[in-house]
Amino acid sequence: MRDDHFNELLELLSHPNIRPSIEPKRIAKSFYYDAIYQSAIIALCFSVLGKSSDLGGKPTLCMNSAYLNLCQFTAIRSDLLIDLKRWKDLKGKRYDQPLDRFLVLPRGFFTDPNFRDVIRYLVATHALALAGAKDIHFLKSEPNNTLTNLLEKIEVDGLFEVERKTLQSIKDLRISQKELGVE
Amino acid sequence: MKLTIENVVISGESAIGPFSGSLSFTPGLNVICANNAFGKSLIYTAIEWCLGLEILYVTSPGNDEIFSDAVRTLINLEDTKDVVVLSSKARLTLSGGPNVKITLSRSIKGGDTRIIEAEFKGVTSKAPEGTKILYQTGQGSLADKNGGFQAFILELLGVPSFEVMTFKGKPSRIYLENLAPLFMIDQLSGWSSLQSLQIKRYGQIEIEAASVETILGLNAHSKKRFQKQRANLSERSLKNQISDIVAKINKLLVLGFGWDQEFSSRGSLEDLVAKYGDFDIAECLEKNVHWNFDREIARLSDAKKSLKEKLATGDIDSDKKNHTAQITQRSLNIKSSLFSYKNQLNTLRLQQAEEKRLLKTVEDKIQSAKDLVRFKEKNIGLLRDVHCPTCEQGIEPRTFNLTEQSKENIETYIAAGDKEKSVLKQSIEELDVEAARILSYIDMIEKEARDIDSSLELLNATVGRQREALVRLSTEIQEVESKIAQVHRIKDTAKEIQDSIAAWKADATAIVHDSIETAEYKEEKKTIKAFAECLIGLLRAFKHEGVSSNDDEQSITIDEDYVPYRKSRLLSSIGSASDHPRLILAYTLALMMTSFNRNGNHPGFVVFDEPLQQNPDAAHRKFFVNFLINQGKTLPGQTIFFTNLNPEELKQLRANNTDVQVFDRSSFLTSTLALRE
Repeated sequence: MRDDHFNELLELLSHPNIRPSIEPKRIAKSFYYDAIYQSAIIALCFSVLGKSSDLGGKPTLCMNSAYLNLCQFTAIRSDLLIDLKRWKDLKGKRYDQPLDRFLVLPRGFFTDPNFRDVIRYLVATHALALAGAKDIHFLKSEPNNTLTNLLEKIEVDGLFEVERKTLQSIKDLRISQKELGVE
Repeated sequence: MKLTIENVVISGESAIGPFSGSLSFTPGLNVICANNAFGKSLIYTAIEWCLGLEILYVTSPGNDEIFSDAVRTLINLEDTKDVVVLSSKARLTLSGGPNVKITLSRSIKGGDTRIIEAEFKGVTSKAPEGTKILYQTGQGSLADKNGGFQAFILELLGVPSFEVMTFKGKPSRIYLENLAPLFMIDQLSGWSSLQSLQIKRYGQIEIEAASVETILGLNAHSKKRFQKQRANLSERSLKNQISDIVAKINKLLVLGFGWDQEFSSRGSLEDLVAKYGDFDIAECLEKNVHWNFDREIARLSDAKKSLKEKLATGDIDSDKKNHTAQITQRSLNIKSSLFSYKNQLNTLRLQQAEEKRLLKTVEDKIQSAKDLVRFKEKNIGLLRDVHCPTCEQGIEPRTFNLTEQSKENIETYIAAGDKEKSVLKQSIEELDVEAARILSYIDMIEKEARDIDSSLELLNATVGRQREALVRLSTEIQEVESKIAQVHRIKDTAKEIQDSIAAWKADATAIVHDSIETAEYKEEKKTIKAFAECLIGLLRAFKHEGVSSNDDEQSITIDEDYVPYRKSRLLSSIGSASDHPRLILAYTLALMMTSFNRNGNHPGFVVFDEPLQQNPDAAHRKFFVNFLINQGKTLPGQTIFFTNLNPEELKQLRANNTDVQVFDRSSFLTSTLALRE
């Protein structure tokens, strides 16, 4: 905004009859925190980056929980990919740091409560299952088809292309657990 | 010339011999009554075929697919089924008054379907009696005055060459197929809406309205419509032109004078003419930056002259002892400002790159949000019935503190994103302009730096104060000459732009939005009023539910596109579904009646195929029969109905002396010559 716009706004607000009001209904909330959106991205994370595994004899796709957290967080905020690449490029160099200490990346993803809540919900729908402290399994034969249905719609309608590309780029970075700082 | 249909013949050769069918018509009301499989629509199609109207249904002229198999492949002749058709043709005899006959023949199978053969009797202006002329159908048949069917038939009907504009910006004429939906009502699509068969693929703008104007003979209305269409199209092109000119003005002012305010090319053409029609670049520069080309050139020329005189007379200011130091200092100053501008440019580019990155992010987010909306549209939401994975007890989804957004919420986010996107785009564009301005400074300064460097080189090569002074003079002359050349360049560009403004203004002011109503135009308004009055009378006769008994003559109005309204509501949206065909029937007849009364260009006949197959109830069938009895004989032109009446209706018509041709046999085409029954 240019200075003259600020001055104009200042002049308007300083008028004695002006009473600023805020209408929360008209404020555009970010859709990042929508549970269905987050579930869809988690489904995509498993589909692009999950490793074939099994849990109690049932076939699953498995991901480290911190890695899943990072992938989901970055897929939603694709502009962070540049910083993630920069961090990876520094590997073995003077400023090489584990991810949790790399200053450019926001801290949020390790303590993202939304992510935790969505995971809890997906576990309750039997779409995901927790194994130990580190691994999350996506059950290929989930009873409610919560994530399977989302993946199918994404595939058929060609949705979330940016997120999918971002996840593919993260896969190409080959981030290890050690680098994540969670080993 | 008003025409009536006198006779239709379809004939041909089959594997077991010749077959034919013939039907004659009287000049006034004709009710042709036969069972469904008789071939009424075959006769209707034959009329269209002989008038070259197949183009209403197929994309290429001469395509016989508009006919049923009976005249193209296999025919049932009396007791013999599926007899192979070897050849067939249709013949339409039109009457233009006593002893004036035109017979149009056209092959359906076994001949050139693109040719219509015309034979004349009593039309001495066309050809000697008995002569046959072959007319070509299809593209170019209107332009071909001698051999084109369109040119021939429209001339025969006396339809003047009304023009319409096309979407491509080229004028077009109105063809017979544009008029046909107003006098030929086909049994299927013809009854679905007013002019439902009107051809749109020719790209004629407002063709429905232009066709009505042609039929009613509204010459002044048609001309005015055409002028308006041409003006609208020209307006668009002129707005594009001024936008280009304004961009050039902005570029000249930014690059030549460091102007930091852009002129806008938005607004109506009228506003733009007022703003730029008399725009004078020289005057603008004089007023805003006190710049005048001639004055500047004169000043620089004087300076050059004076410098040259000094050089010639040796009147050299030898006191300026340290000229080298001065030039060196100037060179340093210039290099310093060059560095500063390059820094600014670099910052701008970084800022622009960052904004472009941000724009990409915003665009990605908008796309993701749109994708999410598609989930919401398909009602994909949270599962309501979830259970604890360990104790298997039911859990409410709200216990997970999840956020769930509605489709509307996300759409608000998208709208906000769109705004942000447009702000970013604008900012990137502004940075572009700023960068161009700085680049122009850099360009100028670099040139100056080069001049100074060459002066320094000269100085370094000279020895002695006098020679140093001479070199200084030469350098100054060189600089002034360079400036004069630059001013000339800008002046030429300004002149070029000024000329284009003058040409644009001439074109823009030539567009006349003619608001004057001529006497002819006013007179034609009476025709439209008469049409509306006639329409309401017929709607009453057919008992269209959209017209109540309380409605007066003013209740039905016709808008500028000749669409009927009842007060302020679209008439086609009032009443029951079966009122729709009644509206089409009334509209078509009202056009014919008005055109006859007001000397319009109606061809003289209307043909309705199966008006009673459009779901009228018993009461409305009765109203239709009553109309035929009471008003059928008063209709001014020839009116042909192909229909199927029940015995009671037939009895009623005959009791009231209404002529009905009834065919009891099963098929129009027989292996013997069919006679009029």
